Amino acid sequence: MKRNSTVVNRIGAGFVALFFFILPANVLAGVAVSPIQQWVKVKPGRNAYFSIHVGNNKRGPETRPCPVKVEVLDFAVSAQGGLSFGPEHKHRRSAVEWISFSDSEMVLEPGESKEIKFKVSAPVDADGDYWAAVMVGLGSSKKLQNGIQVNLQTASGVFVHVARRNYIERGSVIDANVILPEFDMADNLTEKNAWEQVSKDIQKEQVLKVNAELKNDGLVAFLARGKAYLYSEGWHRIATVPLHSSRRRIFPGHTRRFTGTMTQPLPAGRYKLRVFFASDSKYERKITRDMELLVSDDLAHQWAENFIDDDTKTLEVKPQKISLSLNPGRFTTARFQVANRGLSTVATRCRIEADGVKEGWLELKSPDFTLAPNMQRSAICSVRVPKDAQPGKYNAVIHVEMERSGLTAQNRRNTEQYEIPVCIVVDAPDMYTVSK
Amino acid sequence: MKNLAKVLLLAGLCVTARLAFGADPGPDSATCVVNVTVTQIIEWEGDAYADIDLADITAQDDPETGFSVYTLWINCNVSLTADNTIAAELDNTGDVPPGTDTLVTEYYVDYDGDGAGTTGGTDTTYATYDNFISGGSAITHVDNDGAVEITLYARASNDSDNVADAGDYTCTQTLTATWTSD
Repeated sequence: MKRNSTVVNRIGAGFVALFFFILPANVLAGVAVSPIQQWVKVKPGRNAYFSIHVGNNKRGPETRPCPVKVEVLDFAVSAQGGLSFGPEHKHRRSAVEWISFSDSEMVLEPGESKEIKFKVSAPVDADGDYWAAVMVGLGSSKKLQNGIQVNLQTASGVFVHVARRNYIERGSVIDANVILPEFDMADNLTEKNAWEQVSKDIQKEQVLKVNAELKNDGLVAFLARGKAYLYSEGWHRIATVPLHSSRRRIFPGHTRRFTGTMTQPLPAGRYKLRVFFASDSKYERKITRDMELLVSDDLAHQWAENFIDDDTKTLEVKPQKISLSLNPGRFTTARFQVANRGLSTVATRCRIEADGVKEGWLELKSPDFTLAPNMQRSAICSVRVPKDAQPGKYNAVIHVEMERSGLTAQNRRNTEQYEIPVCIVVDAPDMYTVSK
Repeated sequence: MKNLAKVLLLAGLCVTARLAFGADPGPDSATCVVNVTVTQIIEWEGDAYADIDLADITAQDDPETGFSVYTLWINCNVSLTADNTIAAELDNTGDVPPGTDTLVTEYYVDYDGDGAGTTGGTDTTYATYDNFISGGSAITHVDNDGAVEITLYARASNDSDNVADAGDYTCTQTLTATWTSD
């Protein structure tokens, strides 16, 4: 019986391989993957289960069957936040060997979707956070004779938490430095009308840059947020620089680079700089590192001469208003985009002010975030209308408070506030009449 | 007299019961709230499986370019990563007989949206295979725009002071759509 099933499996694999080989070019196919990340809790020595849905959406008559390959892979996160996948990135907190499933290769017909079930078996000595990725790849064409073969794939992150006890987040700043602005005399901007001709690259060099690398020394991942504070010699705070990283979640053993930039010029003198990190959790621990810097007379002079304050209106927030028409019991999400159009890093804090909307109706996911220069991000507001909500109009306001890096002295305004009105119209539920 | 009272009481009960159970009940109404939660979804759709064909390089200073277009259907922010290993560098090791030479292989991506008004991201510029979107390229989802068209451009050229060996050069570039951090 076992031999028969092996033969059947081999024949099946052969058909899939044949399909991969003979699939004609220029046909439309695709694969949808959901969810794209999930957290799985498991006790030491126990099993837990999760699933991933894959589907080949029928988008028209031209949609063709799609061969799909599913693998569980290790991944690494670089200090810059880039992800790399593959067995070569195996690490000591890998969950790959704990995860088992069947159906690693399949062909999805147009309109067909499938739930792939995974089992996580945690060893008895497991402790803390472990991770892996489920990689779903579209079948690729036959090998090219020349040129570039392009493979498309989707990674779904699986984060396994083995809870033995409460964990304390531990981190350390393993590297920090300050890069002072560079001014090439050839690119001197004393003539303001030359501003248009100066490339963005040169402008990017004419800022104070703070780099810091944070390492997670604990057993659980945490979401880090960082700032750098600049002090005069008497420890009077004179400037704040929010620090940005493309991935705030740092896994045990990983390091992440945070960068902050400030365009406003500093007067000549000696300064102390404190890099400060905290996490989003209630067990947060503050992590700091101090350093010193010197701004020479020449540099201060050039910096002040070349400085053009273009950060006056840094943020762009869209849309101006969120209007929703919902039935009682409805759960949905609304998004708004926040863009940083300046050259300084920006810390953004969003909060909801209820103005008729009841508590619990609106919730912001990740309300605190930092934006690098010329970066944008969409923020999610989940909306949950209770089943017993009365028809009517309900209002709220999303406040977006922004603090850009800059001098806090000299009465400078480094903060901006935006308001996004939210209007929810709760409709009367549709009535369905049953006549006898 | 006593019996008559009992009979009348029984008759009254019967009439009441008939009125209660036999009357037209009128329309019944029921409300039904239908809720569906949509999870975060990523869907690749390709002009399957469009690879990038490059014309022959016929001179030392004759870079060849090509591109391919893919659609990514998303309802959340995602990050796009590429393969930065030598698998994405054009070489002639698959040639017959196998060679040992490589071409300078560069890529960039272009989005049909900028992530502000429409779903998309910031276009990149040509970078060698080992630096191409090495920190990931952020794609921002905008409500009511569920698709972004991604064009992958590739350029193959000889080293500045060298001419690559004659032969067929191939490589594989892998684009991965991944989750973003909070």
